[in-house]
Amino acid sequence: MSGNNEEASAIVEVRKLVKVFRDFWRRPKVRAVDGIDLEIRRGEIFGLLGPNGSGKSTTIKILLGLLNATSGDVLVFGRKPHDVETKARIGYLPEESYLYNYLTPYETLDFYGRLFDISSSDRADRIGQLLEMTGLKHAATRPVGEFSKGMARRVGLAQALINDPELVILDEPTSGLDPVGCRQVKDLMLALAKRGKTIILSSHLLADVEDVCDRVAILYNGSIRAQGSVNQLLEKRESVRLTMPSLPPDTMKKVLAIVKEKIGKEPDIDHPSMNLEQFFLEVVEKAHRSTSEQSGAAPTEAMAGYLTKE
Amino acid sequence: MTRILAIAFLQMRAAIRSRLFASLMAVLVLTVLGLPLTIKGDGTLAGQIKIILYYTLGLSTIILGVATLWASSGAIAQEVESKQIQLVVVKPVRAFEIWLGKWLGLLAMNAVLLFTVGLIVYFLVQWNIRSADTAGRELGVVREELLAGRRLILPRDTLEEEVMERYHAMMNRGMIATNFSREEALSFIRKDLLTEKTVVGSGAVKQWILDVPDFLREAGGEDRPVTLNICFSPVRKGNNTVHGEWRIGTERNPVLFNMATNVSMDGTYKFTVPITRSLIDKIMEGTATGDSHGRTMIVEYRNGSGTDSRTVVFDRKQGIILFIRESGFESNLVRAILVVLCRLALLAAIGLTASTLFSFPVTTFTTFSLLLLPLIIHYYVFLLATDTGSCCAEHQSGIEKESISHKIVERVVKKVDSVVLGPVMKEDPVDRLSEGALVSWGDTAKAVLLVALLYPFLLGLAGVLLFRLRELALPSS
Repeated sequence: MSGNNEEASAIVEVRKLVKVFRDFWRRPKVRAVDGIDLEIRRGEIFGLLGPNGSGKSTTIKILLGLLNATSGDVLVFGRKPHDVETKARIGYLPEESYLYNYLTPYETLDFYGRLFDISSSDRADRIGQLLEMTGLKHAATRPVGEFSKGMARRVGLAQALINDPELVILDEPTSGLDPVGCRQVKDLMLALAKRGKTIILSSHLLADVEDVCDRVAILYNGSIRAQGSVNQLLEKRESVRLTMPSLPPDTMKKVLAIVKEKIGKEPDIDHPSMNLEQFFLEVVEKAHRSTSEQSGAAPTEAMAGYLTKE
Repeated sequence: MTRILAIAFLQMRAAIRSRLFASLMAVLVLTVLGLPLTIKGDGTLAGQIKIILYYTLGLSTIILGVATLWASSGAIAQEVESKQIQLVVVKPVRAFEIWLGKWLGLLAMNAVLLFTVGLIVYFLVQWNIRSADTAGRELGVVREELLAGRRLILPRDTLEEEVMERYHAMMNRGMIATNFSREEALSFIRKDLLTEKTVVGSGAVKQWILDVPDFLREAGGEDRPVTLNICFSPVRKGNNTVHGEWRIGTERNPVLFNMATNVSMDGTYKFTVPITRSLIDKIMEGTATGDSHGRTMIVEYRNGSGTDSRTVVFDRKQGIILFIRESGFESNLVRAILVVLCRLALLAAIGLTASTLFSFPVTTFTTFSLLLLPLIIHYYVFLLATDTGSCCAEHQSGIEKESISHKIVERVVKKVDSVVLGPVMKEDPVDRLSEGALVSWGDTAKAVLLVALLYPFLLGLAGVLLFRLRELALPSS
């Protein structure tokens, strides 16, 4: 494996990855990851799916250098995960927002911004945009410890983007977020991918993964059981869905008769409906327009400017 | 540097927002202001000043030491447990930047607290002096002896050379029994010599040789007074008065100054002899050339001057001391605080390094236990030093001298005590300050280089290595 030609090669390369957790006496306790192979390319949104304990978070933590692989090869941007150069290009949102409760969102973002050695003017600029994007501008001076889980999650998301990362690793990013926040996160992922950013998403919410991911890997008991593009994995080539405006009853009868004659049975017919997420977003949008005061996270459509720059 | 400073500021912010800083400040201010009210002094201004300097500054140092050890023990360990460290280490931060940032944060917090204590102590001393209802002489003594940085010149210590000299002489004369080991014989001789050096019987004469530095030539004026402090205890035996005759001079001219003392009380007797400018000139003149030992001042004590007198015992360390004023109180206080700060820096390094490896409770237990280690080593070395060499004493001290393992342990412990612990524990800056003894810039520089830089650097190196090896997202961490 080599990382010399990043444009052509994968951003993340994992070969035969094994992680065994050991007890105090170094005796093997759990084989959390068992021979995983992965290749994630630039601009891709890659979903890691699997039930609890399937090895998703362990794999992510190895990619971040928080855990050491027992065996196998892991390269991120062609380098070892512990490499400081590698870390400078990654943004990470953990499954829980491990933030300093005594810091305000502004101080939190300022602190992490300093760790990336971002100049003070750029830092201030980015923090303003991120607070606007996550709807926390009005709560920028309140300690994070006072926040709800969803608000803290937004701060966590903002810190993951402070360095305008090339690779964004999101572990359960929509956990604790309201549907508006979930939609924003999904839109954000799509926008980032459009800019050529690579995203690794680990989630239990299959609908979220289906909405945004280009490719997924399904893990069970530390191994990959299925891997490929979402369309490829979900497509039922033996069936066809036809969506069209409602037809007059006699035309409809004729169409059904022809289809029945060809397939030998009555086809399934239903009316497409708006999904609950779309309905909820419409209601909240209307409510937001009629209210001026806000105590929680404010709904916003703004995307941080520096994240949308080409 | 941005990253190190960011972590240092975060550490300070954590201390401030968690109210640790405010609580410590309150406790320290209460200690400094309240302690002098609770300790009964000897009623003199000097006694009161000593209490302020020794007890308040000493207790503040202990409080800060405990707080530093506790805070540093949690600085990394608690963040590992709460997983906050995970968001830091996934950023482009090196392990040494985390360690150094945390250490600097703790150091800055200590510096602010310690210098605040120093400032309060300073104003408290000034207030006590201004409001004291004392005669001018006592005030003068306080200013000259306590509120000063005085260099100590101790008599030449030739004990070990004399021990060896006597040992070889006795060996040549076949006076040492064959069943005695070398160490046992040396121990006996050392004990005898110590007695000879500190005990002056009736009618006996005792001499101390002090190597005087060149800068003594510039001292002796009003701004840099020089004094000879004498401390001895008459042995309780009858009601005789202790008559003594003192001479100060040089090898060529042994009587440049003489005086007599008559002491009838029991206990410890202390007095001060001012060494005037003219006497200094004579001493420097008298030893200007041809003295193989450089410039020397000879102090001689004749006990009893021919009459029946009581035996007196001189403290080996404090019996005779020549004090030369080198600096004012303010700069001495600053240097003493700097040395204390160096020690706190070392404690912070110990706690931080332990916290890279263990959980917070284990780190706290380990670091506080480590504090006992120097005391144990000191006690062990003390036992070895006071061991008389007799069979009974060996068994009492529990030290079996014959085994090789004991010899190895003894050598290692002595080495650790002198090389590692010596620079940290040898001179207590608070003790020196309260005695009006100089905490020199040399001592301060040594403390900065060794205690605040070299030792923390070595500890930091170990801490960084351990931190790099540690997996920070293990299910148990």
